[in-house]
Amino acid sequence: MGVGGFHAQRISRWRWGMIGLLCLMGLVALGAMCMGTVRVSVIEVIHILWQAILQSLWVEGIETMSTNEIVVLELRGPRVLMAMLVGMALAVTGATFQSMLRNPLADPYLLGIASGAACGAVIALMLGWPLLPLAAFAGALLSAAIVVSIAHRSGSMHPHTLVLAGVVVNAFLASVIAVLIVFSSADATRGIVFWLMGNVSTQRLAILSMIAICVIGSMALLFWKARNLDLLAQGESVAKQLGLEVEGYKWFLLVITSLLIGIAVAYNGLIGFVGLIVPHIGRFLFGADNRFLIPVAALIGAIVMTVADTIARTIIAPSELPVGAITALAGGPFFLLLLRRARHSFT
Amino acid sequence: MKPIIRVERVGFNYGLRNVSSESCLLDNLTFQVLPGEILGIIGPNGCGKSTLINLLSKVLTPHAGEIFIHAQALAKMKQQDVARAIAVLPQDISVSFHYSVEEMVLMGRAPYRNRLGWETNADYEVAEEVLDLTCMRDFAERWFLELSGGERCRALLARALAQRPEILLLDEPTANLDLQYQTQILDMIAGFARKHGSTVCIVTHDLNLVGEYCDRVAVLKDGRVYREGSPAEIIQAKTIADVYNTQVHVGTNPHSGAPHVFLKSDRAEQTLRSGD
Repeated sequence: MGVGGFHAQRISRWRWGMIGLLCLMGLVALGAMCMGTVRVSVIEVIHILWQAILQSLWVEGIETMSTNEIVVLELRGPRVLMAMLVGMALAVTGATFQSMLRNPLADPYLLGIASGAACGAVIALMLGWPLLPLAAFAGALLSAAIVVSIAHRSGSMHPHTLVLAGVVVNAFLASVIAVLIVFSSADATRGIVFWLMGNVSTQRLAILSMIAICVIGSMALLFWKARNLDLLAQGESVAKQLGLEVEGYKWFLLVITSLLIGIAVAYNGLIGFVGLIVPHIGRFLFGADNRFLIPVAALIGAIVMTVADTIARTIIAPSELPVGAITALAGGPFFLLLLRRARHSFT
Repeated sequence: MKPIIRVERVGFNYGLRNVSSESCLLDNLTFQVLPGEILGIIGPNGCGKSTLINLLSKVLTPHAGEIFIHAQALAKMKQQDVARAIAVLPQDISVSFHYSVEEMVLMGRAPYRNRLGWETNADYEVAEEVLDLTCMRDFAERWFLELSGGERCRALLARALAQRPEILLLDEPTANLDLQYQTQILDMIAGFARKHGSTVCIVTHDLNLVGEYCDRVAVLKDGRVYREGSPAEIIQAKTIADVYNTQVHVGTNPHSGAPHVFLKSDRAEQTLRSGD
């Protein structure tokens, strides 16, 4: 069989895989909307969603809603949507960083961008500012700028310099956060700690759709240029010799990933492990080619986050666990299991 | 014949830019490469041979002087156009993820990809052709990281050839290879160059290889071309003593008539003396 044959096989496997993952994501989302203190049947969830779609298309005024409708449309629906978006953002950023830094252990938090966002958010929480997301965005962009400017001093952004600069900025910001917590009031501390551990927040539809546009738009841009990530994974000299304008592409990646991380952290705090593990699961299933990996990682990320968030809010209902604790608790052992089963896929 | 590569008064140094010219890695380097020839570039360790490859492939930019490909200034060419004209066979590369040989070879088509970045049937045909040419067809589905040194070298060669380059730059192509692979790789490259009229520059320490395969040799020393000429003119005991600071004996390969370098080790000298 020819090379085209091998590749055609791989593409068709990937297409079926994507369809399967999409269906699974839909099922998981439906399941998540059924579960909680108020039980709603699957059929009713589908009916409510269908009605809502019909109404938003054809009916202007809002009718009075039943309890189940409120639960599905105002509480669980937005939350599930948010979980999916955060999962996508983290998984795709993780996959991007791993290829860009040529480091299988890279995750979205490695370059200090997330700590910057967290730092901005903590300051906002401490001072009681209402504009927490804006503060987090500002923090993310500022720390990205600092990391890049440190790493860029030698003329080009070498991956090792970038990681080192990121680790240093990360450590510095972590201690800043620790100091801030010490000096904040008991009430604020409680809020900060819960937020830092990561939990999926429920947002209004207007904010959610804005976030959705940002996340999906950023992912589409990354997907469009995903082939370049494969070239970058070969090393920068080789990438240049294969025709890639390396510096410009790295700036492109940093800006987009800062946006994704900023969004994820601003609304949901620090959620670990998803960005590290999901890309590896994607590679295990469909190979390292980033054109396959980016969309696959997005779907798996969405599924994993939705499941984790559902567990977090139902397992000790009516109170809630931080979802970051669930992803770390389940993610660690799962990752070890994968490592043992398929050692050759993780070099 | 018009030269295909023209290097004119190129200066380069790592790190500090404003250093005196004595300490420059490359300083006032000038030479030309003619289309279709196989040029060997030799010189002692640290004389800037690999740097030269990076300058020619626009990975690095010279601090002084200019490089021309055909009549076009390399500095003004887009990286993509450079990659269409010039391919590099690196010594070895470190990839952190598992790519199949086929995927690696298809990356050689990156300079030609369309707007969406997916390969066309023409790209698959090229990949198939170069896999056959390098005898790597049976390895297409294997992981690159699980190949032996010789197989990796062939896979990387296949990728370089997939770029359909006019100019092929080889960085120590035989450094990690056993005898069988050394001749195999170089025969493949020489055959490809002859068939397509490609120009080849080989950077190497292996003077016998240069004598066997190159049309012309340039010797680098102290950041300049110390001498250039045919292998028979360059590979002589005196030149080698000047450049490498080592005494050797140069004979001829009875099989091909190419110059062949024989080492003069202390051990052999002692044996000779004690034999007297």
